Amino acid sequence: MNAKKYISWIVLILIATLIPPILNLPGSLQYLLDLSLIYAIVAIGLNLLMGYAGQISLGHGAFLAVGAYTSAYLTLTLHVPFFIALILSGLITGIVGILLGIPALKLEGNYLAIATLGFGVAVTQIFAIWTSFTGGFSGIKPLKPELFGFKFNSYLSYYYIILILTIVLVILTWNIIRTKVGRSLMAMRDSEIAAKAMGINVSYYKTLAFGLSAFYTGIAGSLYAHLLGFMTPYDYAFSIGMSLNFLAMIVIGGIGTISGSIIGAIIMTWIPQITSNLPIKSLSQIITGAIIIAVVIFYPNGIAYAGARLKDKFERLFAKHQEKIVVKIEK
Amino acid sequence: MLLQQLISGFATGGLYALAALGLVLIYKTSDVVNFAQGEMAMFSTFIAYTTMTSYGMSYWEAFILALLFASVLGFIVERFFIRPIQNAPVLSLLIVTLGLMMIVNGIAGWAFGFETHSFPAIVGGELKIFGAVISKSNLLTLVITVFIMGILFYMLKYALAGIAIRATSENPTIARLMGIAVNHVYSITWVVSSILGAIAGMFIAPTTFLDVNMMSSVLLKAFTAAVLGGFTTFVGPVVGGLILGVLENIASGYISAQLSSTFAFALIVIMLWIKPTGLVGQKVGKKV
Repeated sequence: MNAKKYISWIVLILIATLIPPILNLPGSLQYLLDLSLIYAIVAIGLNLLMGYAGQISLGHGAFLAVGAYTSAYLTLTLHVPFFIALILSGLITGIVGILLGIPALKLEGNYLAIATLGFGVAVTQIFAIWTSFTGGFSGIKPLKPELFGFKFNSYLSYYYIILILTIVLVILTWNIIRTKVGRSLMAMRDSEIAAKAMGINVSYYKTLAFGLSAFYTGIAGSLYAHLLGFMTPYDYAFSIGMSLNFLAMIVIGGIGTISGSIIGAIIMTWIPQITSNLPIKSLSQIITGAIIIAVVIFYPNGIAYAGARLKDKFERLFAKHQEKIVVKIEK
Repeated sequence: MLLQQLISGFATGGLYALAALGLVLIYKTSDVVNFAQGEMAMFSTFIAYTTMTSYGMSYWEAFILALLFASVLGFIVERFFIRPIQNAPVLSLLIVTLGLMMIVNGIAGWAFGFETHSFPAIVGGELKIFGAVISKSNLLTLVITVFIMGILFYMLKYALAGIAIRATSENPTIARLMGIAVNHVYSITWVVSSILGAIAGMFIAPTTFLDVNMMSSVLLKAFTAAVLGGFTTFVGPVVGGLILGVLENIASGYISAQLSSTFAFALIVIMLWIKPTGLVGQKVGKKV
């Protein structure tokens, strides 16, 4: 990572920190902003699995549910403080991810997609029946987070918790992908057999990728539960439909890029909002489907990449002028 | 009691087998797992429902019209969505069929609404065989399913189109060199698969009720059937479908009907863990 990129991220963080209080957004918009960052965490986790390790998952909605209900159970029933529950939810969901990763060791591509789809449906079904844990139809009410007596009651105050966690997880992801783990994951993505031949322990890294990805999603699940304040197992965010939306986020944003995950998450959170005023109820779904097909066919690398290419074009345009000057001087 | 469960198990299993055959047909010829198959079948079933209720058509008129619609839909999807990225990586193809799944589901919700409708069965009433009470529609479903599979297997074995399909599934490049229009084969497999799905959809709808999301669990069952039997042979999905149907019927009797998808997931995982190629599948070599 070069200095220029660091600066652009710092500027981005400053904007993300300062804009909401300056604009003083109404509750519903601030809520959406909170939600888009939570989804961004899921997207980064999914991208780690899909973009870097090359393993597909159609069951991340289920991981979100596991994280959300673990956190709700820990805080409501066992009275564990929010921040400890948050980390525990991440860890427990991570363990579930590792467990799912074990059968996934033998699978790839389509088979993995089928197995994870099955996992997603199964978890929804189990949670719907397991009413002592989830509250079933009548639902449960996760508490608002508290730290040293300060209650994060407003969407704005909660936004900063989510923002800080997002930043921490982005930095964690950077560190993962730049070290041996990341390189091993990418080698595995490009060719499993070649990676094996190079001495990479493929089954270890596959399970690790599932565990890490589930950990991120578990954290997001905990944040989601306490943002919502009321949830049932039938919540859309836990469904297969949402799992597909998570996939759409990273496909649209850009597979294998962190910035792409964030951009995709924001786009996918706001599309339903923008289309909700229109008379066609399922329009956002149709649009999402159409966009991901269009992206795959025309921009296989997603928006993040298309943006980079545009920037590249501009820079080359300027570079041409600079070259001319250099040539003149040389003459 | 057991006989009753066996027969109704075979009837539902036969439907899973039909849907799974459609999936395998496409997978074997073009390496695509069509995640949109269930939604396409749901849409065709809605076409049948609408023509019956709003335009007063008879059951069989609506049935045939729905199959015609399914074949056109299958053709369009292959020609305009799959063909442009035929040689793309597995992941891209997968994402496109998932996108199609969203679009078809969304359009169905827009066009037909989100309410649940009851869909007529082919025949009503029950039969008593050796003390077992079996619904006539279950029995007829079983007969029709066997009949359709018979035609399909006959075609695959002897008809020119079927031989072309098998040749393409063995090796598309060589099939092309032998003068087979591989692109036509792809179109045919999508059309046939779409029709098989639609038939399954119309026979399942009377038991599950018709709504926009009815096929999501059926698709999972079709996947399970295909994984159980094996994605690499045409017999596999039939074997897998029948086994799944019977197991599920027995399991829902003794465990819980609410957990049927969980049961299917467990079967997928166990099967892929023990024998990833399925019961009757063969191992296929891999290239780096």
